Amino acid sequence: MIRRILAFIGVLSLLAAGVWASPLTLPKFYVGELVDSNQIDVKPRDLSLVCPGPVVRAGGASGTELGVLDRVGLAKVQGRFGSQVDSISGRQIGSESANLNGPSVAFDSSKPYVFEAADESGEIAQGSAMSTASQTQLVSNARIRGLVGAACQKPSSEFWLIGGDTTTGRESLLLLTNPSKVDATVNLQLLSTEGELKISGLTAISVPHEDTVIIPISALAPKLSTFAVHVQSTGGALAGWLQQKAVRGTSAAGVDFIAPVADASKSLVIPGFLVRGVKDAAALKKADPDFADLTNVLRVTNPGNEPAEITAQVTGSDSKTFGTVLQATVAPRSTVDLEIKGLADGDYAIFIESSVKILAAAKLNRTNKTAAVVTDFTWLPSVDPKAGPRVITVPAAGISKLAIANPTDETIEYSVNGGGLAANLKLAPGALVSLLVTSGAVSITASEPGLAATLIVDVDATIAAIPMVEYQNLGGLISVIIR
Amino acid sequence: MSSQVTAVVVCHDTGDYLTQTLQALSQQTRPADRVILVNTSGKQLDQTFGSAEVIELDSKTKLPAALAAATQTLISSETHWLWMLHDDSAPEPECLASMLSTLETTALVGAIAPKQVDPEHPRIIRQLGLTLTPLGEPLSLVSSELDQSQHDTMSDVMAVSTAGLLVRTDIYEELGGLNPKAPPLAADYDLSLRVRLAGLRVMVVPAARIRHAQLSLEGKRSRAWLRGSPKTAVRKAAVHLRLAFSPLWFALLYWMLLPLVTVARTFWRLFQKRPDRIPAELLGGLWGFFTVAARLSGRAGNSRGIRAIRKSFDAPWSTVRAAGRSQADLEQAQELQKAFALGEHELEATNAGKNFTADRGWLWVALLLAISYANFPTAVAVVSGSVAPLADNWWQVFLRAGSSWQPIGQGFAGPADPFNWALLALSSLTPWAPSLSVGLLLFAAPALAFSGAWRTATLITPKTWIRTAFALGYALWPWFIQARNDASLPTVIAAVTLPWLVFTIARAAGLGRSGSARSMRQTWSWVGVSGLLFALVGVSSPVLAATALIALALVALTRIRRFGYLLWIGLPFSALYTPLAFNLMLTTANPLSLLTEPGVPNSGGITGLSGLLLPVHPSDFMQYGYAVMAVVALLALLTKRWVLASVMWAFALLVVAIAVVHSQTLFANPGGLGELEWVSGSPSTLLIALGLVLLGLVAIAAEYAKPSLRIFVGLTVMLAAIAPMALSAATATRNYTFADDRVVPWLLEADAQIGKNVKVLLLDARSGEYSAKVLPVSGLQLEDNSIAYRYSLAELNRSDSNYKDLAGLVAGLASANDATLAERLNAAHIAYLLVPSANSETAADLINSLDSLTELSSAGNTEFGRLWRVTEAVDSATAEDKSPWSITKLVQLSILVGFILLAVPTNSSRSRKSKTAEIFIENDGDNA
Repeated sequence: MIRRILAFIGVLSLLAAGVWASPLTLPKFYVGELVDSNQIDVKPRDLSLVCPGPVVRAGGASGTELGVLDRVGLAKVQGRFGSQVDSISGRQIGSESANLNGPSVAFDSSKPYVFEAADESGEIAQGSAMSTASQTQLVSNARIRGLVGAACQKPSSEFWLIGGDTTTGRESLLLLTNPSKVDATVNLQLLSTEGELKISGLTAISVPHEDTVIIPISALAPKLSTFAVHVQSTGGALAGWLQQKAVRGTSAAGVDFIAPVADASKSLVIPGFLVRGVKDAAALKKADPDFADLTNVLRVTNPGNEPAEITAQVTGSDSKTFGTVLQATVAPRSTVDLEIKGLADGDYAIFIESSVKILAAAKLNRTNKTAAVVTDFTWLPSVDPKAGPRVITVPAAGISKLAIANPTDETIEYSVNGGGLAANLKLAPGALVSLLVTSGAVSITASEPGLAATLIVDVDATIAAIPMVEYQNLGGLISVIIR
Repeated sequence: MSSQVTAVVVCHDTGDYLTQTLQALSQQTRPADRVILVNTSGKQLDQTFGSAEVIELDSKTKLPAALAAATQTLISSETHWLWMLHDDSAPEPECLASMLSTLETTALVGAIAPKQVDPEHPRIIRQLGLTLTPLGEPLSLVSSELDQSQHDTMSDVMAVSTAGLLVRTDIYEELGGLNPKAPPLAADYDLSLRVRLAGLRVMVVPAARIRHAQLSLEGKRSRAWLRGSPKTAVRKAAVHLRLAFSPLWFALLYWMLLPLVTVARTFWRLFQKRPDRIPAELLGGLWGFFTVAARLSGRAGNSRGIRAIRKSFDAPWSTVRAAGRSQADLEQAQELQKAFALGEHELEATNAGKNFTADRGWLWVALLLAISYANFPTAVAVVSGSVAPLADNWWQVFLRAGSSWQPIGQGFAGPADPFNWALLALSSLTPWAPSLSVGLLLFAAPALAFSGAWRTATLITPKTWIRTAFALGYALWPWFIQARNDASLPTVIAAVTLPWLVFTIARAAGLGRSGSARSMRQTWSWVGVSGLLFALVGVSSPVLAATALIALALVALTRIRRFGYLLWIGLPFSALYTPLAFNLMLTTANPLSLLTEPGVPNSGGITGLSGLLLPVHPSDFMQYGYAVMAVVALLALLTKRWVLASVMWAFALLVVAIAVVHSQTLFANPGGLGELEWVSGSPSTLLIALGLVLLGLVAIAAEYAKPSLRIFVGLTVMLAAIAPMALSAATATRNYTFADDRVVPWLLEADAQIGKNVKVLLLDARSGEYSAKVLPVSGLQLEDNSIAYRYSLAELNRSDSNYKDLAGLVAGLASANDATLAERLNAAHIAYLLVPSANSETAADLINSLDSLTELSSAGNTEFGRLWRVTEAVDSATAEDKSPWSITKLVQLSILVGFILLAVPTNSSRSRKSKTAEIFIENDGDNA
């Protein structure tokens, strides 16, 4: 029996030793090796930018012609190209391409316009410093009134448009332009406050090559105040905007091109939230319920499958503009509008943090009731903070302010040149600045990534936003692993 | 005229047998007229033998030459007879007289021979004439039969042995004596047939008896005497007779087919559970094939005469079968006597317990199937991150098993995963839809594990409740249930097989309550089953195989007399795993790579001992039943089987230690992006094996505990361990789904079904890096996984120009700026591009690029990702000229088939079960 007890104690001791040793960190053994990727040097494809063209009018001149969607007026297109670019060409969509004389071009266009900047060597870093373009259009007629502006886009197969409203008097048209040589098939998703809308007509939409297709979201999803549009295409890559129009009673009350927002992220920044006419707006809202939508809002879309806990900090540029903080939970695959109240006139930027990746844009109203009542609005997209030299073209009309925000935790040094400015500046963490710029090309060069910028154009109390975006095609050294 | 007899004793050994033979010779009632002793032993005879003349010859001298030397001086006449005697053949006193008496009354006799009896048991007939089977195999007409005068009427036979043969000298001289080119055991056939062809009779005289020890056939002479082992000599004799005494056309055909015949006979020997005969078959076959000239030169020439002789004297099949049964009985009797002498005889357990049905095993199986209802396959294939569908037909799975050329990547020359053999075995259950077998296995896994574990429990206890608790504990073991619900196929296969492996090894080794197998044939049958099961476990979980080898070595050490059997258990696994092991050692130079798990790489993600021993869902307290088992298992150390329990505990701790090391090992998974770049070893199979050991200890504790304590142990195990684990298993979530067995979109599947041999480029992009893989249009199934390829990828990317070219093509696609894309895609026979995931910015850019290419047409979103078709028609690739067959595969297949044949029970081995008493028949013939 003694031997049995000894064996029992022996095993028990070993077990105890195992339990004692269990928290110990054990060494790892590695077997085999990972693959060193093949580094392939490739020349990027020539950068192509698409401008949306003039605003679209539904219903023809009378507004009663069913199915008629025509363009109104001319869009003022501006482009600026790097001096090293070998050639610049452009075309109205569906037309033959023609060479352009650079480095800066400006003209009116009656259709969506496509720029192409050729670099034979492939050695020029692609981006706005190499090729940038934008357009503006001031529209003033009985049915459409306001300023529209847009940065010309590099076509892509997927993007999100955050903004829009299809309630009474509001009209949302999705403008999709396919500048490629390949037809595209588009599937749309609409995420509202109730989640994804299951309606017919959102899938298998054909967009022929070298053509533009206009999809009336208002007809597909009427009486919807809050939504986001997810565009996914197969085949040719597309450029797209949501044209949002407002009419109060019989008066046109603003129009805007809503541009794609930055990719979904847990941390977003929306620069250019320049609030003006707060008192006028309050007075109008008080006097007439039809002006209720003169409220500035932050629209957040949660494209994922987990609820998003968000905190949005609306930060002012100085001590007089205190800003505000918004907190909300956004259900999975849904969109919410958060009213931004209590702001005084001033310059703001919106910094958003979220528990999961989200998308966001902010609606900024502009009001003037000094003479005739004028209202306009613009949807400010979230913008990716970037580094290096970046360029944006500033239109000649009205007052333009380049709003820059620093969402990082570091002070960023940058320089601004052009548009009447030539300065080396610093921007503190979480700070913003609005620089008054004149027409022409304005460049910002930051030492490190972190600055997000949007150009706000104000023409006689109408407003448009042109986000400063960087586009580039894949090139240089590409890492490829063959499995 | 009276006959003259010259006795020639050929002596190759000088022991007691020679003395007895010469004494017997001198005691003949009718003595030989002359005695010649031919000494070929190489040693001087240390005594004189009366008037015998002695001829000393070299020890290398064979029987024909020895006889030739002795007969040089003989007078050749009809009345002069040569009496051939071996040194181990002692004639009884009346032997010569009886034969001469027969000669006096019988005409035309050329050769006559006595009845050969056992020297120790003279009532046992060893031989009484020889013949051939219908297939030309040598056959002794009477062998090891009790002499009850039942054969005393025999006279004419086809052939007789040279031991005691009396042959007329004139005929002997005319025929040139024994044919020196004939192998030793065919020489007597050869001589007898020639005598018959000469028109004379060959007879046996049952009244004449000679005690023949048959030293050559017993293997008691030097191997040189027979030029090999007795078995080889028998086989050589058969081959010689076939070539020398068949019609020429048949002899030539037989010679050409001899390699195939040899292979077929080898497998037949395995089916007979006689692997000991295989070397003889191989050596005999090779010898016959390469010495055909000598065989043919010794042909008798008279085919018609041979046919007539064979027609008259060939043994009918009934005799052949009877002789076979008799031989099998004899061998079994000898084995059992030998085992009895060694103390290995089987003692039936006094209480063997009930069988599975009587134990209500089927009821528990039904209950386990019932709680697995959520796992019942509702579609053909199981889909999860751990498993992929199999090919859509059995033949495709078969082609991948053991192949040396893999149609993956740019084509890969390397060994296939040994696990493919397990997949082949599995898919054989539903050959029309191999993937279905995976779903069925996952559904039935606990029930199968139960039945295997129940068998294992019979080794320990006859008590129903202990067996049931043991089997239920194993079937509901948390890691096993988790592996099943994760569709971790290799783990499930290993876990289901493991208890059966333990049981069969125990049977082969003679361990456990059931005792050992009853015969060599049964033992070989268990060895066959064990070998196959070990291979199945090993290819499914190499780390478990390594652990099992340690256990097997322990068993072999404790059962050293069974070492000769147990040694072979590892052969199938070795055959399947060696090519991969060799490749891995060359590629990685790291022995740990041998432990790489097969199947879809799936990170275990366990760190440290604490993480290892906690259940997968630590908050599910019902899974902690295993801890209760461990505590009860400690009690086994206090029973009278404490030594066994100590060894089992030591082994259990060793298993845990190996599991810790394995879980700390990270295996490269190059090309696997994100978290799967390194895959940690999964300890699941080891923890399941640990469960089997702990349950064994629990069974020992329960079996040998005092009755009062046994009730406590039983209640504890049932209520605190089995019941919670059952509840946990019944409510566990299945982490896989059922779908059809496609691995590519319908569009590609359609191309594959019409036999279009084009490729698919699978592109993925994450973190700014692109990865690409070329697939056949039918996609990659589970059997296409290759561990060897996984470890070779780094070097292939570094040095293989095909890989660099493909990387350039991928870069061109990603940048959408390559004017030669169409040509390059066509040259690579790539007709489709598939991007499985767009969940990254890089992937979105890649999709943009591909969308913008006029060389590609978007085919939309599929369940497998975004698909593009190459716009211009892509030429089909020429069919792979690499054969799916290889020497490796043939060897592996041969060994597996051999072990399957070995494992299949034969009638003879089964029918012997109840006849053990027969081994004692007539073991004392002298008393008669």
